[in-house]
Amino acid sequence: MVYSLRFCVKSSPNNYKTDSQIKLRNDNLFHPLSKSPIKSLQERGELIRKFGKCPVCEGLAKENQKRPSYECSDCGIPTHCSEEHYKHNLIEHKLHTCKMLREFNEDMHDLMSGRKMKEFEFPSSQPLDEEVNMLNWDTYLYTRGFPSIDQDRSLRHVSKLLTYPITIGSVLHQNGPYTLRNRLTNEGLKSLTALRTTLHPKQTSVDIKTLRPAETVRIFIVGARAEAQMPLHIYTQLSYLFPTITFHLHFVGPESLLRGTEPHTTHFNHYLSFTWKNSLYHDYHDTIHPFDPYCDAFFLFNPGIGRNNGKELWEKTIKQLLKTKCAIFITGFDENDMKNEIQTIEEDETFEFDWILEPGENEFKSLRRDIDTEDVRIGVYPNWGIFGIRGKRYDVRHYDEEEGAIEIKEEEEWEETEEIKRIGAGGMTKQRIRH
Amino acid sequence: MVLPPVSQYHQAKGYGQTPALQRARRPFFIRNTITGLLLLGFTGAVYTYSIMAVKQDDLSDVSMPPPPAENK
Repeated sequence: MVYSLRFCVKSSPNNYKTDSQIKLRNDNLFHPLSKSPIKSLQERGELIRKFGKCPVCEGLAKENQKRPSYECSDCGIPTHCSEEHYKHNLIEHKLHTCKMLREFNEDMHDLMSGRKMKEFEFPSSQPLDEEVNMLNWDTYLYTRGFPSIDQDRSLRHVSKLLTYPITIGSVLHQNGPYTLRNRLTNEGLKSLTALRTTLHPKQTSVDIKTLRPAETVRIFIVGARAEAQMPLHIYTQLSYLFPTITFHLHFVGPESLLRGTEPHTTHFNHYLSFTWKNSLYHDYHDTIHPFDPYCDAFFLFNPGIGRNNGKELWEKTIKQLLKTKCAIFITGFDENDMKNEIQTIEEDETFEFDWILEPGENEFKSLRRDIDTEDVRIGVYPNWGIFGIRGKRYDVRHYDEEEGAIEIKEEEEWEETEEIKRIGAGGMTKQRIRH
Repeated sequence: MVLPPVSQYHQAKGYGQTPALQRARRPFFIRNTITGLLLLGFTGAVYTYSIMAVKQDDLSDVSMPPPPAENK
């Protein structure tokens, strides 16, 4: 009876848009960029023509190098400077790049097709007793009640959008994919347990007398780029994972703001605030002092520490981050990128740190590649891999040596002042016993 | 009577599983199948054992009343 009734329920009409608004049908997504019906994609093609490079010309002398202008008929992206060079390089192009670029071409046309993007109808909060399974994208989307995402293409769109907030959420959440048996180290468990006591409070009392003021969890996204420009509502997906917690996200870095915008703070809703700061992190560090490993975490999304002059840019920042003893998570574009980052960090002996999450693939990476305009052969997955470190803590020290004694004294003083500031500033009742 | 809405993961028809649900279930599929087989095996074994132990009862231990006298 129940079932027969259910079957009668007609699915509501999905297409509110009239035919004139839909520019491209599902079976008509491939267009060479120069002949694309979408203007912004034509411009993208122009950019590649202007700044890209031809893989055959690369081996020639500088004055003979030309920008790509010939579009491969299978992927529709300007890849080579002439048909001659294209034919010369055909096998390599077909083997390594053509498929990836074709996918990129169709994905971008699908995004701009004007169809109703059903997969972007994100769910809002869910009942407290409905747990989220953060094992991978599929279980997350299912247990959070996202619309059923059946096409790989739609999944790519959604993962590209959600990779930043959900990577943060998946690492911190108690049902996250990383456990002691899967890459998390003992030190990592200590760090995450500290954060999780704040993030998953035991709701033992609703009595106003014993109720504690909710703590704000601060997440610092250092060296923010694309993630700082995303529509803010996608970050609500992070706060739906931790329904009672107020988050304050700080986007720090010279590229976190568009040119001509001032640093500012927004209170998006009761649970979410954002701050954008376009100075380098090490200039910002002192203004957000003190730090608390129970409430603060750092995320560096694809920072490029291992690239050409990355070390000099990041050295000061990383030293300060390690000093805070808060958890630091760093992602990379691919295996090589991550290896370089790790090597750079490990090489420097002045960085004293513990591993908290061993390097490996990120379950919540973006499934759509970003194509490099300057060299279309390079297509990377944002947040492909992730690892975590934290400044080393020394619990036992020798008092006989003079140096050691001084060091300890300094640290104690620092923690005292931190405690005083904390009590003075927020009137916090919570006392934490450390060591 | 208010019915809960049909989950989108069971397609428009209201039954079957969408590819998204199949993907979400995949990590658990093998272990769930093994657990299912174990449970089925156990109940099956209990059922078979009890039938074997009792066998078919011919009710010979039940004392029967004398057959009714013939009416003449």
